[in-house]
Amino acid sequence: MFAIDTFHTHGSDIDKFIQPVSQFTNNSPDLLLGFATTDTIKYLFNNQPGFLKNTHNCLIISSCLGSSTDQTLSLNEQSISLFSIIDSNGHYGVASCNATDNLRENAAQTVLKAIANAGQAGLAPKMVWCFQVPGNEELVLQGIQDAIGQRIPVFGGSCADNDISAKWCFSDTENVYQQGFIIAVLYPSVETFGFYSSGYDKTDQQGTVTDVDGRLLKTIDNQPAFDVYNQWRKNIGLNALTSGNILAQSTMTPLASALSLNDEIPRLLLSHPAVAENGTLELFSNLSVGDTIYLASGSPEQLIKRGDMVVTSLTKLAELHAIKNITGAIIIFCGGCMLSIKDAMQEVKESIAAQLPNTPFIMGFTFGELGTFSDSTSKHGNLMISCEIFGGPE
Amino acid sequence: MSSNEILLEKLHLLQVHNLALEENRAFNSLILNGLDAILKNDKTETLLTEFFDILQQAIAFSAAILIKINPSNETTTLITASHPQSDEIITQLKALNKPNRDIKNVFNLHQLPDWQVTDPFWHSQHAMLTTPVSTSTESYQLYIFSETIGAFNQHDITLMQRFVSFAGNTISQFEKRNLLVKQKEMEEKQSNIEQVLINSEKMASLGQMAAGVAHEINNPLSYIVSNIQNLAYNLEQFSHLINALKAEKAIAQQTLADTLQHYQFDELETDSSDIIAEMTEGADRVKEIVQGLRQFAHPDQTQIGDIDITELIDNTLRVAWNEIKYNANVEKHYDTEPVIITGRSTQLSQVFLNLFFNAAQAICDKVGVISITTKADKKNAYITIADNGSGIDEDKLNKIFDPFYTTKPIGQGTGLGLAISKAIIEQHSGQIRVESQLNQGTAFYITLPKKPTLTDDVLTILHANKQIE
Repeated sequence: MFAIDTFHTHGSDIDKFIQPVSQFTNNSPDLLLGFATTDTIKYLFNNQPGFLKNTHNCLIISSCLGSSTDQTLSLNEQSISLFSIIDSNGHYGVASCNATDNLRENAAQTVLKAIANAGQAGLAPKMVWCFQVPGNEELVLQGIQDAIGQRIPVFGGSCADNDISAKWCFSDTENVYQQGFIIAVLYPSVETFGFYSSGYDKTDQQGTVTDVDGRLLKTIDNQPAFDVYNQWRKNIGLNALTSGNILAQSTMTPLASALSLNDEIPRLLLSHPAVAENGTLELFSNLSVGDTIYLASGSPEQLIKRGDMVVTSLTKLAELHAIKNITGAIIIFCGGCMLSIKDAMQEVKESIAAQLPNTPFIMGFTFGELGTFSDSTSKHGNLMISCEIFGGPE
Repeated sequence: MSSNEILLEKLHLLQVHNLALEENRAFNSLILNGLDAILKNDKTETLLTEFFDILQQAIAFSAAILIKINPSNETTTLITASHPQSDEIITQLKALNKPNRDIKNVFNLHQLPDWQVTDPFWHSQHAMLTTPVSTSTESYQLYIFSETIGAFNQHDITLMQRFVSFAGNTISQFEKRNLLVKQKEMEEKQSNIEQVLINSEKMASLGQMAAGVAHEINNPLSYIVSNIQNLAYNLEQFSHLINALKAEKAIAQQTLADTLQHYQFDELETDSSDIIAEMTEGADRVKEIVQGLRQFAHPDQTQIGDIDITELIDNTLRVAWNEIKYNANVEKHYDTEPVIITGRSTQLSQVFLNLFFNAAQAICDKVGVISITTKADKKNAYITIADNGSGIDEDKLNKIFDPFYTTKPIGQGTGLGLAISKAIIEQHSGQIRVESQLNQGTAFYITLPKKPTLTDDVLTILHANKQIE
């Protein structure tokens, strides 16, 4: 038996969430993924410990402003969305880590622990989910790949909050964590298909990273990075930004590195500038000295359409593999993108629902997205969309 | 600008679709190469080895092992390994695969509990993909290895599953084809053996009949011989009569009458006609018997023709009559219309002869009845040969068609008569069955198709195909 179900509730009184959430998870799902506002997660786990006692494999991730299911989208209020999988022929395992150092080694150990928890020691999962607090996503991804190799799809994102004040968190059935990461390994009995994309185009403004410290980009072509960035914006007809929090203003003009299968169709991995200070740019993803970076360009119209496009394409991809019955979908939508088209998010949700009639799906808004490109390489990027769909049992 | 982004996104999506189609193209290429390998190889294991060379064109791996699994005792036989010193790893693999034989993607062998391999080459292998390969007659297990952790992904699994399924199905067809050829050879051998057995039984039947036939021929011959002596005497008397008549110069009517009276001319004349008639009858009887024997002893095995079943039964009865006549009266219940079937008359005659002998022997202690019934519908002819003899025990009834099974004393029966009869009837696409009650009698029921439309060769091939299915 394979079944997916979703649940959503929202409102100002979080206590009222407890009974319907308990009822939804009463059938002991094999895997439970949730997106909730930060306050909701902290309140539930601090005041109602064990409210998910029927669920062994659980990941609740903080999402920017709110979240959505196929039934309901809610933003700007307390909410929780849940996505449950019941799969009697599958195997699932979850493990979490709240360490702040040796992240790469800890990630390797944690993914092996999740595999052991699934009772599948040594066996490759069909897919790995990883959600983490923002900051060192690339290291965690490297650690996972150290342990299980680079060809197993990794899917997920970075926990988010409502105002980039580092209130992000995640939880398993036991605790709420404000640092570290949580990993799930999936051995579902059905086929799955994924797509990871930016939905942005690169402009002809480009340079080379000449000084960077982790996510702090200092110079491009030996010039202060913020100055170069502003010059690039001016070159395409946009105004220069002033120092400070530029996250919202830079959403349509992020930096991008091209990861291309071939030069004719650029595959962009985006880095979202969050803060400009003293000529530097603080990003949500890592760059390295020597990287060629571009000024990328996006549009609200494309951000509104891309969820629908990606889901439609994935259902067609499933059909190419003779899978016609889609049982569920997960959409990781960039929180920054969501903020820039917030008023159109109902339209986004409705257009996805139209492509997945009577099919449960969940959508969370993250500050960094993990996904796997079509050449099987998994990456962490910003302003991306990562989507997974599940087929039906044979 | 926005239209560019949408087009770019659509290109990316199309690229994903293209990869899926590329997967199909790669699979089609594997199939084509696989078919080419089939045409070149005539041994399953060589073929499998070549198949997995072909697989390497689509999935990168550094080592491969193929083993055969004996399902009866779970032992394994190494078919091929791409690297020597594989005994140790095979022992480990065997333990690994015991719980189930589904396809398994191991991202790191060293993560498996109890995995211990000391050979440096095999120790350096981390990832392993393994799948069962089943053909119609054998079970194999394929293992491919890579030094890279997590080298195999879902794409590789899908491709391997599809190719292995193709390979298994194709090899099954390959095995079936070989099986069909072997089946046909066996059928031909069986047919030859059956023919030899039929001839052996025939010779045994001939021996059994020899005394009876000799007696049968002796009767007409004895009165032919006896009458020849009488005829010789009559001729001598005619000679004397003629000489006496020649001695008389002028023979008076009275003298002629006296002379004819003296030599009993009228009796001689009547007697001679009778003698000649008897001799003719005796000679005809001998001729009939000899013709019957010749037909029995020298059948034309390949000749298939129309047979009037009633006529064939009557002819056979004539041959068997000496065995039957002292023990049984024959009651005939023949269909009013001729019952014509297509078949080999000599073989069917042998079946009836065998049944008549058996019936006569079953009623040896009394004078019984052998009842012969023929009837037909549009498709079949039905022949029943029943007796009211001793019957057959229930526990022996299901063995009587077995070769070399006999209830007769040692040396008196070959035990092949009914086995051969059954084989002959089945060769004619017919059926024979028996019903019997102890001390009540036995009945054999034969059904024969009237006009089979297929030749024996075609029937043989169809039969072989049915066996394989």
